[in-house]
Amino acid sequence: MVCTSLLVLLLSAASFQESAKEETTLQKLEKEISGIVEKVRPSVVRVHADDLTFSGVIYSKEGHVITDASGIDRALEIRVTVGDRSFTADRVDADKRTGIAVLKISAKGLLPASISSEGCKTGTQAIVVGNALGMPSCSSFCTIGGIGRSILVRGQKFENMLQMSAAVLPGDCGAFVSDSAGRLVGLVHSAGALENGDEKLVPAPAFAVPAAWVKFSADRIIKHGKMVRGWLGASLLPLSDAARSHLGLEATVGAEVTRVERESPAQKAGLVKRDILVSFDGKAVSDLDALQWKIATVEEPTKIRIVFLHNGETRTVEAQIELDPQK
Amino acid sequence: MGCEEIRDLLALYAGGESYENERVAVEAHVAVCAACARELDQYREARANLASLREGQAPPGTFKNLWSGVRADLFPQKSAPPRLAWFDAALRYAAVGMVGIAIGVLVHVTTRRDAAPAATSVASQPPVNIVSPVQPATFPNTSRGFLFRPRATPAAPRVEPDGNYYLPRVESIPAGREKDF
Repeated sequence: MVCTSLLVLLLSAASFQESAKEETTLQKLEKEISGIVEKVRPSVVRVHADDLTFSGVIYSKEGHVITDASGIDRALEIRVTVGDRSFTADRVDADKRTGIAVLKISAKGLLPASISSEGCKTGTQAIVVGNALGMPSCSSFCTIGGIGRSILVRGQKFENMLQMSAAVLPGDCGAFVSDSAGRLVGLVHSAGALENGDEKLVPAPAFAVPAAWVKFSADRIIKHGKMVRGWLGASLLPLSDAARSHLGLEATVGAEVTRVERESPAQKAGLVKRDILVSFDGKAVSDLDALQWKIATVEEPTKIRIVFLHNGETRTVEAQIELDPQK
Repeated sequence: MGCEEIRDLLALYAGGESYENERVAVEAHVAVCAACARELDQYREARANLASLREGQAPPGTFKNLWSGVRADLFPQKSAPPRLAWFDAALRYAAVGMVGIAIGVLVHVTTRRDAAPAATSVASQPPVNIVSPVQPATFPNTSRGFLFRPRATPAAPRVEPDGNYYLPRVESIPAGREKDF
């Protein structure tokens, strides 16, 4: 009897100890976030462009650093601080369309970021690691609230942006946006500062360039020494179902030309405002994101057959996709 | 009405400027009062003489202005009993002073700001230098004057590019799904 009681007592004590060791969900989450920040931190650098300080991310072991293009636009001197080491940086080039710039430093032992090859979805949990207000490796946890956003910054339009709920602060421009695996899913670009009628600031989203476009711009700049991407010189808008029905087009097919740039390949091909682009390079125009990627990835002037409707008349022309002048 | 009051009305009556009740009173009086009747005649004679003057000798409208001013001269407004001048002046200065004090109190209440918290030193961290921590609110609408400026509320730093720490500010989020190619 006594032995049985002792055995029960010992078992109870053992199970109590085991339950005491078991971590709560929150504790696990904390550890995982801390682990991600620790993993990402070595790849985050401070960029000093004259008197401005912001963030950047190590892109290659060879010393390529990616950051925001507008921050270094007119800088006379650029320095990059990696941990407690400071280096003079050369500006390789920038992609004005995505706002991504590539710098080059002569440093060894760099830990480049791992770039995610998967696209973000709305609701993806992310961690921003940057240099908010000059404080090294500040981090904030956030949700990707939207993808494919267009924003206007200093009169220039940026597309395909990730919208984030992160508390992004001055100095975070060029910061690392990490997914739950510590991979780069975006590079912080800008933030809103919405105001209400009483001139008080209200919470506003921050925006980041998605990893796919970051990688595209950085790879092209590193490969060519300058930004090389294709250019049509037109703006397109997906057609409404009613317009498709009226024009006798299949579902999802067709995009309206809303703007044509002067001296652009689109103008030379005869496209004008309100034309309907139906086919591009033998494929029906339905997914504008895919079309944008296809045109951007052109590396040299290329002739492509396009089909469009002009006042109800079908026209087929050879348009030459040229290299983006990066105006 | 006595002769004294009637005489005040005679000039108006002669000029055709009297009210109906005045006219009745004058006519009733001069019918029984020879002195006032004579004075009325003198007024009529004077008016007739004036009327004979050529218009060119006097500025146009002289007669009209002349007669319209007669009533004001005859019946000046009775002023309030005179007060002591020093008392009036003192009263005015006191009123002005009280209004000034009230404005000062109102300005103080509406524009005061809460005291900023004392800075704390963090030995391990470099000082955080926010160039433009809180931009003062601007009031493009001038109708919102100084007196009614709302109390400044602590706000997040504006994300302007002209600070030491850079973060471009999004101007707008265009609607629509238009894309550039």
